[in-house]
Amino acid sequence: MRDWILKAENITKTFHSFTALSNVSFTLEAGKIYGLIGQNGAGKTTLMRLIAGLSFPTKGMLELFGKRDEKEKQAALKRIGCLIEYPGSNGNMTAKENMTLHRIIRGIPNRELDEELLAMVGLSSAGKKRVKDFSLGMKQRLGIAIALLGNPELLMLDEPVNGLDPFGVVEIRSLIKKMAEERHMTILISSHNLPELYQTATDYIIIDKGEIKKMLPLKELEECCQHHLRIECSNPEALSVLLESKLHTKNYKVMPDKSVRLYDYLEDRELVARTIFENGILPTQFYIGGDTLENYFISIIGGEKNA
Amino acid sequence: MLNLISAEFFKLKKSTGFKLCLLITCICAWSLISVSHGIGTGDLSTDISGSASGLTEIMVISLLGSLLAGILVCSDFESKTIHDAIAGGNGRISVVISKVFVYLLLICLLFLPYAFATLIGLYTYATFSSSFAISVFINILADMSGQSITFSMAGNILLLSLVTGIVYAARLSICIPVAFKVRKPIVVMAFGFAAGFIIDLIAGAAEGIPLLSDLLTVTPFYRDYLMISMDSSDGIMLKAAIVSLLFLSIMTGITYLLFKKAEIK
Repeated sequence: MRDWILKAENITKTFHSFTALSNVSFTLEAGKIYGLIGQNGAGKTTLMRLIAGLSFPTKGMLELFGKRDEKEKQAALKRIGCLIEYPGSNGNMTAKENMTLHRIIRGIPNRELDEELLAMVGLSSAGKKRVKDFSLGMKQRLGIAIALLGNPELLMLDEPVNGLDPFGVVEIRSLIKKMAEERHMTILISSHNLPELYQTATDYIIIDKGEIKKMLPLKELEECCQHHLRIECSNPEALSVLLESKLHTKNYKVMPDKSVRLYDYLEDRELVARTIFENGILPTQFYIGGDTLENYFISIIGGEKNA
Repeated sequence: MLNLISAEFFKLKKSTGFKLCLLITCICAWSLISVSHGIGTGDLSTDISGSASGLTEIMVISLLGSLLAGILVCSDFESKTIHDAIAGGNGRISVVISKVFVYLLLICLLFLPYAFATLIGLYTYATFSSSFAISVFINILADMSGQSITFSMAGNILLLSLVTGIVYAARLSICIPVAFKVRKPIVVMAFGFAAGFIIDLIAGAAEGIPLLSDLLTVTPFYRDYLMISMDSSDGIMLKAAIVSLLFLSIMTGITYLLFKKAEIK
């Protein structure tokens, strides 16, 4: 049986006449890194705020760690950590004081945790510098450290690499992966940048105009985006045999719609065409398929592809 | 909830705003006693009574109390500390109760400089005047100057400060639902000061009307609760404290109702 962390059923959220989320349903499985991808205003932050208890759905049901009842869900919130929109911190305090404050709020007695988490996000050298003098990147790191207090089982990070320099992006990316692997933490990260999420997430939730357009694992995304020769014919089994015997490749896949995706010979399409034609197979379709991540995302949300 | 109260005190330890409020209260309390002494000895003219009345606890606490309500509540929305409190599994009712409780303690704390200044004034056996301003502490000084201070007297002054603090906290607690709703310190401060002034005017006018006058006695805006003195009976002190604590509970309830399903942005 699968271990679900979160179930959302037909969640709708409206603000007066504006519908921010419309009948959103999805589940988050334990230990995975989910990339929540959508344009600005797609509903990513609204969704995270609903999960964190900062907002309430107009319709629908959220089940957190198997808890549906409001009181039980409130207790279950102790098992999540979040950084939503910009990082929340007290500007007049140092990073360590902010950690102490949030640790007290969460009722965690372990004082060593402050230093440990600051070191983990690369802020141990911040010393007595006040947070109001931090760069956006430093504030972002502090926000992540605060979200990690209490060793959450579900970590929600809204655009966590915003304002980070390239080294910072790499560090945070590896930290996120480490958290998921070592602590079996489920992570939900939002971004409007699919190539950025591609380097971190194991599963993707594509959201647009308040609706979930698609949920897919990394493997499926790679398959959709990997360039290939798409060949359609009446006998894909014979084509498979031919590819292996004549072109000596096993780097192909027969798709459920009976088309064949060949990932080799992209630069030598003429040889492929001649070989299959000479061996008595008539292709009804023969073209290069696959997309860039951006184009794939745009195609899902219904926009026009780039050339 | 204890963790939230503890977090409030941790924040206050680092809060410049709160430290400044306490410093201003200390300066005003000391200045008030000095002016009272100056007028009492004839060194200062009663002409300054208009300006000096700005140093009384009625003015200072009303102004700083409204400001503190803004600092205590609104700054948490600005720094998103309240987001973490709620997303960390603390109930909204716990957040509201902890704020009201800490607010009550802070207002009582702001009365301490006046209480200590009064005790020091009494210790000097100097002459004080109460004719220039309406103030609980100036009245104590004027009435009891020349008497030697006993532990019982000091205890009574501190008790009176505590009850006055509770009454003021209840009067100013009308700022708390506003702070949770509008989340802008300057608006809260303006509202607190203006509303307190208007309610006092209405209360003054209502005192002559029997039914309204009776109604006023169950609110902290009743004049007798505001001007309790060393001569006030235990009954009136107890009634002032109970009425004020009940009023604070009602304000806590109203705040919770406003905040229960509020969006936290």
